[in-house]
Amino acid sequence: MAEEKIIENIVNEFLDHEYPKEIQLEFQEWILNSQNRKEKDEALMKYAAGLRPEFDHQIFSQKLEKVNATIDKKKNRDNKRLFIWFSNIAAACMLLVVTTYFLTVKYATVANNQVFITSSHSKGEFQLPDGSKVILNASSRLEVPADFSDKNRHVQLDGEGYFNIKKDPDHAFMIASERVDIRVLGTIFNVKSYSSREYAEVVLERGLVEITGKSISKPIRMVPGERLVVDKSVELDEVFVDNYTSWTGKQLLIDNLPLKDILINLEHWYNVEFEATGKFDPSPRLTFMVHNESLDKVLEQIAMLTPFKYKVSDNVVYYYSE
Amino acid sequence: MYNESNLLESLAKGDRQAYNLLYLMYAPKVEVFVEKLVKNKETAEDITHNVFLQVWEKKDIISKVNSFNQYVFKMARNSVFDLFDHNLIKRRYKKAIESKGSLAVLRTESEEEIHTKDLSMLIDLTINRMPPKRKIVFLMSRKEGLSHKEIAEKLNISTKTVENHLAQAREEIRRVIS
Repeated sequence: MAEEKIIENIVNEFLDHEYPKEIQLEFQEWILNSQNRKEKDEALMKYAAGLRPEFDHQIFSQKLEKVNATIDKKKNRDNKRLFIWFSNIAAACMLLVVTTYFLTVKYATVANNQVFITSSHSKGEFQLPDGSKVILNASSRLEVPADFSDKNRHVQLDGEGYFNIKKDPDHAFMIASERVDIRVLGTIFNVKSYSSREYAEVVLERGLVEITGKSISKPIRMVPGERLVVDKSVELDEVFVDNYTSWTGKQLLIDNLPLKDILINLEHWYNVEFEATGKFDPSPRLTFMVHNESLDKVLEQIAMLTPFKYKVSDNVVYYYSE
Repeated sequence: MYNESNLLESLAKGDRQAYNLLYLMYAPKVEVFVEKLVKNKETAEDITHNVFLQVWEKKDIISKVNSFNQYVFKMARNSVFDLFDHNLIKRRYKKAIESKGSLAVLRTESEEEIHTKDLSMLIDLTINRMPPKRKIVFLMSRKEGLSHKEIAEKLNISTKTVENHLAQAREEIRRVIS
């Protein structure tokens, strides 16, 4: 076997497994040894390039805050007074953001049923008594009946929700909505079914769900990565699930995506609809992050960087490419 | 909003949004990479934190590099190597004493020797990640030269089990070295 291949295998073996202290030192000495420096470096960089870790956005946002705080502390040595003044404002702003995030889930009781409602500009996250988690997008309503329990799991949805259902094969979780009813055993998926709109959409991230509904003749079983759209017809296709679930984060990170995927992300993030009115070039790629920016601001910048043209009217974005 | 080319330019101008974006895009990968090398989560978090402080401090230089991706992983690698170097000082000192301070250890090794060393390193790694029983059986057979029967008696398992363990161990080693 060629020397480079042996070196690559050593690096991959070590990085992919856990080892006792003594072996770790053995490897440390080996990698620091200047023999075949170039090959060792290449093997490390090749490994790094193949990394696609799943990560918790929230945890890394917190870590980022720490890094930023350290950067500010260093600056602070030059400009002490100014910094303190700004940091107070920053703290106040942060507090405001956090509070709005939690207060937006209105909680009401209707005929002993619990009802969760989000306003047109907010999202909300909460846990059901069986341990399942739900994130509601803007203008949504989730009704949890008074008799909801570990053994009787059914809710009613009007709007968009990202569900992480606690697994229990003996007691299916049922979600009823205007156009689709979903039967779940334990899984993660996104449902968009506003009674005010003419379609419903279910995207399955993990697990197995069964869909029924008034316009669905026989139950449809979905597998992960599939999207079901119900309007006048019923269609099942394969999609990139992240595009449909990114709205559940505290900020929206668009990492070098083509415009067609970006529009799907924005559609869910801002709870609007996109409608093409002419030829459209879906290929330009962009990288950006949305935090509190308005939809107008984001679209305006997309239009500056790409041939994208648009007009917003009544929560619908009409667009084409110049 | 940025495209790939103006992200680093914005960083060089001190744009904190550009910096935050680069952090969220790369820090998770860097942290996993470092953790796999140092085998400790906290150390990996500390190193990643420092690497990204450097990204901010060296933003002028970074805007001129060809690939931010490569640059940031090389910074991480350098920090990890510094740590390794530190770990090894004690060990080297001990080794130097064992070889009675002789400078002969510094002679350059032939390609043949390096090849043999690398191969035995690779085999060592493979053996050490095997399930504990298999590892013990293999070492008893190879290093202590015990027969299948002797191993079976010592570990109170059947010779068939010993043979199975050895066959699987050989298979795993064959897979990484061929």
